[in-house]
Parts: sequence; structure tokens; C-alpha cells
Amino acid sequence: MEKLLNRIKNYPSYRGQIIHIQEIASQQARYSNLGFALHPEIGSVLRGRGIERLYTHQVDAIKKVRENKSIVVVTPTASGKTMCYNLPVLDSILRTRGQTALYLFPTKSLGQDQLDSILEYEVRIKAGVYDGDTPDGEKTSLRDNANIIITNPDMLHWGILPNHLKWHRFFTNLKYVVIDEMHNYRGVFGTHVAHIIRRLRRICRHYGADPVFILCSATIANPQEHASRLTGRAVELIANNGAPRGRMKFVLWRPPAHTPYIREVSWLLALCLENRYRTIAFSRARQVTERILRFTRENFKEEKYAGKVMAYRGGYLADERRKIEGALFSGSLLGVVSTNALELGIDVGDLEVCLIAGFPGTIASTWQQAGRVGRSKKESLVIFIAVETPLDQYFIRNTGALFAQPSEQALIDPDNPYILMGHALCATHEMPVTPEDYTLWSGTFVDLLTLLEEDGEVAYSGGTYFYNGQTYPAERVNVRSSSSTLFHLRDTGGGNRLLEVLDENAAFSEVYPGAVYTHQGSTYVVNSLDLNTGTAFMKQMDVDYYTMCGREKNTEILSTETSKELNGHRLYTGQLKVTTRVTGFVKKHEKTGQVVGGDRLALPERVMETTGMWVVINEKAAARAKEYGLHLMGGLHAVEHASIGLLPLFAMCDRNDLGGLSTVMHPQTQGPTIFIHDACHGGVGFSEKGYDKAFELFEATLETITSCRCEAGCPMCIYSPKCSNFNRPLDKEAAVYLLHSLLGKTYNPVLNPDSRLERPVRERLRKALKNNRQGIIQ
Amino acid sequence: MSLFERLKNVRNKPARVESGISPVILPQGQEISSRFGNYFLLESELPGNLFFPADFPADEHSVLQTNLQLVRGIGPVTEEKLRQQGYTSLADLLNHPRWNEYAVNVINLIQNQQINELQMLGARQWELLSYFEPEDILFIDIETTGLWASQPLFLIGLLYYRQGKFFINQLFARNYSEEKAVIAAANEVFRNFKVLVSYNGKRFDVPYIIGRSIEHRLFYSYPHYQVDMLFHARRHFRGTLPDCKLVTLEINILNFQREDDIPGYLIPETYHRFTKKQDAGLIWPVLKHNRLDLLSMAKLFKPVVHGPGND
Repeated sequence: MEKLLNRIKNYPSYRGQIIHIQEIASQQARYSNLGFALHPEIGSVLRGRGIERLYTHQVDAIKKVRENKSIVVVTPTASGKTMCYNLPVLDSILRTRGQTALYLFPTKSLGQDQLDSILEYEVRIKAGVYDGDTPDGEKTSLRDNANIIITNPDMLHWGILPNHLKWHRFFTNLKYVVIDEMHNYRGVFGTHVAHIIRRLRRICRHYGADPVFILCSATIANPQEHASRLTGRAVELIANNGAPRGRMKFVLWRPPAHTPYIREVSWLLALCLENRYRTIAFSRARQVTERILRFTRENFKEEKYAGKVMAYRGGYLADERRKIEGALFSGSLLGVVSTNALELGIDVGDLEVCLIAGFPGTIASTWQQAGRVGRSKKESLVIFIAVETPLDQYFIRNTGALFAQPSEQALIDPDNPYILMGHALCATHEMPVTPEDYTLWSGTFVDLLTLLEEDGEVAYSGGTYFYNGQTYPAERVNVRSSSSTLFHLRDTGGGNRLLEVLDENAAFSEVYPGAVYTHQGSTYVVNSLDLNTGTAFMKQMDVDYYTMCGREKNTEILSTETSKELNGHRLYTGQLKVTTRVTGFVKKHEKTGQVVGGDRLALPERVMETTGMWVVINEKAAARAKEYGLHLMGGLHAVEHASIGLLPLFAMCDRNDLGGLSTVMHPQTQGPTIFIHDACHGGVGFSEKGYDKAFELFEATLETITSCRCEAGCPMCIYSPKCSNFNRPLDKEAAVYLLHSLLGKTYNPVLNPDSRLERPVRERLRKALKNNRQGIIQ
Repeated sequence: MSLFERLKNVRNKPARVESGISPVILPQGQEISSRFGNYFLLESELPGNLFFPADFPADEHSVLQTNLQLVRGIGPVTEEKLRQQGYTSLADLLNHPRWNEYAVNVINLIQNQQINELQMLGARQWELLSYFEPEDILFIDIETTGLWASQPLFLIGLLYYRQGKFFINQLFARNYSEEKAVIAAANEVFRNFKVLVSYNGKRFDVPYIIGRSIEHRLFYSYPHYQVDMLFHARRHFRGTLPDCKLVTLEINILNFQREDDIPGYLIPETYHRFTKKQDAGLIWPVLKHNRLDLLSMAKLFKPVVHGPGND
């Protein structure tokens, strides 16, 4: 890879973007002895593939499963993790005919791929995919005969569990439940899945089964804890990865200032392909993928390369995907630009270079993407291209962060009553709920049943809760979101055809009357929003501006859960009621960002109950800020934005899963307060993790702000793309002061080496702040 | 009130105490003790007539024998032509150069009472009923606590005919633990009959009982010939009546109007309340409703399955 790196450095567009190169040493294969023989049919298949020995982690997994212990296997991609479950499961079924196993995958396509890999074993068991696409005749056959059923959480929730009477053979004989890509089940979706698994275990118990759980996860900070929380039972950790790995160079790349990162990715990709390196480029959004493809093709010096690179996204049909995968595998395609759809699963052969355009949201995803290269013995290259967000910039500056022990945790909250309520209802429908079932859940479960009885949804008699509704309850529970109301976006210029459906939460801030909304690359202007029917009507129009809405927010503390002291300030967690009202919007010119218009709006307020954390700054510190001539509100606001931007370091979430509010005087806390809360009803533990890791979070935040080279704030440190106040007021220096105070560090207002600001610069800073407040963008 | 607040209020309430209450003995029936526990049986009888196809299938002039379309390949047009040529029964076709072999097959099926095969060839259910006696028929109608078999049932209503009378047996679970005994007893009764008649039973009642049998690990077997009256009602009355509900047919064909009948959607919660209170007055309307359903089914049997018009 030295050759390629030199080519890159010699390229005219190279101006020192490489910040760091991490050399990742190769790892030899480590084998281990199983100590017993697998079923002869499996043994011969493995030998046929040239596999004589098994890796350490595979052996550990198989042994534990044999002892009927539930496990979570944590190993990077391409380490033979599917054998960790396929081997013990197939072995067991071949020995004890009639046993069954359930395989759960987050998407249909992954499930299909896994079916193929099971069928490749060519052993005499029946396996099949049972999901929305399975034809009816096959459904009956699978129910009555299959050993292995492959499905996804949605189908399990909606189609299988409520019909368990038809599945009695399958459940009576259920010995194994395999849950792959476990780290995917986090946040709101993960919480739903946790309840679906508890309902599954309840049904299993009813049929006398107690299956062994085998979970697989990418590298996260809390695999064992998360697996336990997800399944509601103890799980053992298997992490002794023995798979071999070639050498890898991992490059951290910072695009030059004022250069769109998409251009960087494009010339890098073109260069790699022209030098015949098989390359994959990952981007964060579908539209970005298409643009990278276009610019890459423009960059080629010779026409012939244009056909050697294609785009790949989820949403392409199965045939198309197969074609692209096959072409990559055979080599007729040299490169591919993809969303994270190609992060998982299917083998696409030996790729050599991986370009990651922007942090994919989690460190685990970053390594899954990087794991697409380096499967052969040759050296591989990964280039991580940073985008202008605090998180990306953090990784660029803290060069060890991506390579250290994982800090991000997968979080779910099985106690969130908003999410649990729907599942309690589904449980009563599946089978009347008796006190024995309570042990699978917490006290909230029983309390919710009492509320459901008040609402008339369930009836109570003889210690049992019975479902009392007229509709199929599973249909009322949307497992991929926390709110069940969806808004329909309709195109008035196209006969009111349905363009998209949008979550209720997003609707008020994205499709208000007058908003500019982008769909499939075209811009639409919303002319009306009908709240009764949940419909937004919009018309396609080419406009040269975009819109941002302004919101009034109020946060009421409903109850306090915990509190602690941090260097003289107080931190709390608890339940909050967040009231938002969209008050108006501005139109900003697409190219210059200048405000070109706007309007007031009269929309009703939205109320959301959730969990969150808040920081109350003590009086002395607040007073001192004024003495130093710092803008207290600007500082609080800036700390809020920056912390939210960096919280994903500790909790596997995204900016959009959080919300915040700052105020110099909150009626309940009676002091300057910063709120950070979850953006979903009931909360799933993201902001609470921010409370747990408050010190580390503030450290990272301070580091990010002080080392940012902007004068008065920018998207890389204290600006938020979601700010309901148009990113006003923000005071970078005040934020620095507040963070010093929170961390117990001494703050020197003048010529402070930490802050790297000199007196003349402070003058410019004050002027910039003044301009900022007046809405003038330089 | 917010969900958090509602939960707080609930947590402060004292735990609920359920007093065990013994099941009530209604005057109209008796408690039965069985291998699977107790249940309650209500029996009644009234005079009635079950109209049935009159002829014997083997008879050369029976409806089956004169249905030339049973032969594969003979449709209405061909049948008309053949009739004009003088072929009026399957026996006549034995002399036909083209159709004689096929006719032999069908006649064999008829002689051997291969009801399912004949039905697949197009024989009408009313025609096939001529293989049975009115005493072979069992009408069923169940009452449940919900729409899905994962929810318990509590009443299995059965009606049969003997010597000028309709006999109604209602197997009733007075609480949830009596359900198993009810289903086991019903399964016993089924063994004495050859034909099961229901209203939407093919989709609802029968699969429901099967589901509950699975739930209670009870052996079940329904080799019976099943007649679903809803199917026939739709066939005959779709255009002429506003809908094919049993009550609608009752009003229009039997000229009978129910008074104060309990609406279906109230039945589950009425039952739940009954289990707690064991108040006979609560459950009586449900038992009455079930009886009326069964009686109407029996009286509507011929008009619906055979249809309007002559035999």
C-alpha cells in the first residue's frame, strides 16, 4: 500500500490531508481443539471446504452451546462467526431429529443470505425463510416441518407469536434461538425487540421449551450487558477471536477547509480505480452515494473506467444486488460506492481499499465497513475522510479514539412504558397473562396492565388478564418507531400521490406550510398541513433557497430520579415533559446561506414525555462569567450543542435521537440549566448515559471546542444542524469557561494557553459574536 | 394525564384482592363432573322439523343421478343438448358412445359414497346430504372471549334432531378452568354425528375449537362432512338481502324478530364480569342468544342450503 499512498501524496489535490496512519499488524490464525467430533455429515462438509481446524472462538462457542449455555459472540466481520451458530445447531438437530431452531436477522436480505449458507451444508434438515414474502403454501409446510426457521423481529411480532397455536410443533421442540447483529437492536427498535424476545420466551415456556440463545455482535463496549438486557437472562461472553487478519493501514484524512468532502472521496476513489485497486467507498446517505458516483466518473482520465464502478444501496432489487455482488466478486467491477447496506453479510470477494466518507454513526459500523477489505493475505488500506461535524473532527484529532477499547454502548430501556404498553397488550392477546408471566418483565408491566384495564383494552378476572379488543393488536404496534402516528406526504402536482410517510415527530419541523422538502433529489414546497388527517400537501418546485424552522421549547421536570455533584455543580436525571411549538421559519439562500425571507406559523404545540439529564450551574460560576464579559446564555447553549454532538461516543445513538434546551433561569431549578433529553417518547437511556459519563463527555467537549480553529463557532464545534433558535446565541469562550468550571479546572480568562486565544483575537471574537447575533453570516 | 403520571397513581394503589368464588348452579341446567373437571350443561328440547333431501342417491331418479354435469367435460350447454337427445340420467349415459366410460366412474363414486370426490366434481351439498339421515346432523355455534383462538371460549352450543324434536345441549364453562372439560365433552358428542353444520364455522367455529384443543392438549378429530351455511346464504341471497347475517335471514325468511338480543361485541366482557360475580342474570342473555342462533340455523337449514325454489 506504500505505492498507492505515495501516488496519493503526489497527486496535485493532496495538501497534507493525511493526519495519521495507524499500522494494524496482521494476526495469525489461532486454532483450538473441539475435544469431540461433530456429526459426520457436518465433518465431511467442512473437510470438503478445506477446513480441518476451527478457530479458538468457534471452539469456545460450540463447547458452551453444547453445555446448554447461552452466549454472545463478539468478533469482527469475516471471522467465521456464522459457524459459531450453524455448527452447533446443525450438529444438534442431526443428532436429535425433530429439534427446531429460530434464526433472527434484522433484515430480509440478510436472512435470505443466511439461508443460502445453511443450504450449502447440504445436510438432511429442512430450513426456510418465513417472512412477508413467503408464499402461503410454503408457510404451512415450514410451520409443520421445518427444523430451522429464519425470520425477522417484525414477522415474529406480527405473524408468528400471535399464531403460536399453529406453531405448537415448532415451539415444543425449540432448542436454539440465534440472534445475529445484536448491536443493531438498540434504541427504540432495540427496546421493541427486547419485548418481542420476552414474549417469545413466554410462549416457549408455555410449550415446555427453554431454548439456548446464541447472539452475535460487532465490537461494542457492553456486549454482555446488552445481550442480557435484550434477552432478559444471563449470557456468557465469547470474545477470543482466533481468525487471521492481514496487515492494514488505517488513514485519518481531513479535507482541506472549504472543500466539500464528496469531492475528496471522488478523486481518491478515481485514483484507486485507475491504479486497479479494488475499492469500496461507504457514504452515509443514499443521495450522497449517487453524487460520489457521478463525481468519480467525472474524475476519470479514461472513459473505460466509468463502467468499472457502480453504486449499491438497500432498496435496489435482489437481482440487481446479486449482479453487482457477483461482478465485484469476479472482478469485472473494480469499485462500488455504497451506503451501509454493504456493511454486513454477503461476501464480495477480496477488496483492497476502503474509503469511509464520514463517520457512519458508530465505531462498530466503522470497523464493519473497514472489515470489508483485507480478507486475503495482502495488505489493505482504509481511509477515513472526516466531515464537518464535531464527532468526525473529534476522531481526526484524537487519533487513538477509533483504535482504543470501545467506548460506545448499545442502550435500550425495557422499562419505557410507551414502548412496553403495546407489547403488554400483544401478550394478553397471545395468551391470557397470569402472575407467572410477570417475572419476565418489571413492575411497570403489571402497572401498565392495570392501566390497560382502565382503558377497557383488557379484562381482569381470576388473577388473569384477557385481551378485550376488536382489532389485531400486533398491527397497532410499530416496532421501528416509538410513535404510531405517521404523516403522509402527498404531491399535489401528481394527483396527490403518496411520496413518503414521515414520523409525527419529524412532521412538525419538516413539512410545515411553506417548508422546502427534498424527496428523491427534487425539491417540493409544502402548501398545507392537515393535522386532522395527518397529511402534508406539497408541490414540486425548483427553488434556490432552503428552509429552517424556529421553535419555542419548554422543559418541565416531572420527577427527579438521581442526582450527583460535579465540582460544585449539580447533575440530575429524571422524567421530563418537553413542549415544542414551531413558531416560524426562515428561507435561506442555497449558496450563500443568506436569509431571504420567512414567515410566522400558527401550529399547535407538541408535548412529549421522556427521560433526560440536566446540569444546573452554581450561582458563583454564573456570576463570574458575567465578570469575565462572557455571555452566559451563549455559553450554556454552546455546551449543550457540543455535548449532544459528542454523546454518541458513549451511547450508540445519533444527534437526532437527542434534544436539548438551555436557559439562564429555569423556574424549577432556579438556576442556569442545560437539559439534554431523549427524542423519543419515554426515553431509552441515551441522555442518562450522558449523565453517567458526564465527566468524560465534558472533557471530550472541551477538547473539541478549544482545538477548533474557528473564531466564533462553526458546525465542527458548537453549531447544531437542528437548533430551534437558528444557532443563536452562542458564545464559544463562555462555553470554554463553563466546561473548565464543570471539570474543576482553573480558567484563565486572559492569555490562557489552554484556550489558544490571544487578546487581538478576542476582539475579533466579540465582533464576530455581535454579527452572529444580528444574523449576518460572514 | 400523562402516562408517567398515570403510572405513578397506579403504583400507589394497594394490591388487588381476588376472592375466590364458587361457580353458580343455574336452575336451567346441571353441573357435570368429568375426567377433565366440572362444567355446566343446559339441555332443552322443542318440537321441530328438519327438512332434508327426500331421495336416495342410489335411486336412478335422484338428484345426484340426474346431474349430468358431474361427468368431467359435460357443462351446462352439453347437458342441455344431451337432455334433448333423451339422456336424462347417468344410467342413460352408459349407452352413449362418448360418455359411457366417464359415466361409469361417476356411478361408481356414487355407489361407494365418495362424498368428497363427488363434491370436487361439482355435486351440490344438498344433493350429497341424501347420503345421510337427519339424525346424523349436528349444528354447532360457539361463544368466545375474542376473535382469535388464542383467547378462551366458554360456550359450545349443539343442536340435533330426533323424532320430531330439536334437542339443544349447551356446554358452558362457568369460569376459565372449566373450558377444558367443555371442549372434551363437546369432542365426545361430535363422535356420534357424521355431519357438522355451522354458520361461518369453517372459518371460525371449527378452527377455533381445534385451536383450543391444541391449547389444552386434547385429542381432536373432525372427519365429519362439514356444511357452512354462510357459504350457501351468500350464494343464494347475495343480491336480494342487505347482508348475509344470520339475524337478517331470520327476519326475512323466518319472519322472526329478536327482542333485546345481546350484541356480539358485548359478549366477551359480559362473560368476564360473570366469572367474577357468578351472577346468572348476567349470563342468561348470552345463553339465550346462543339458543336462538342454533334454532334459527336448524329452521333455515333447507331454505339456505338448498336455496329458494323447488326440489
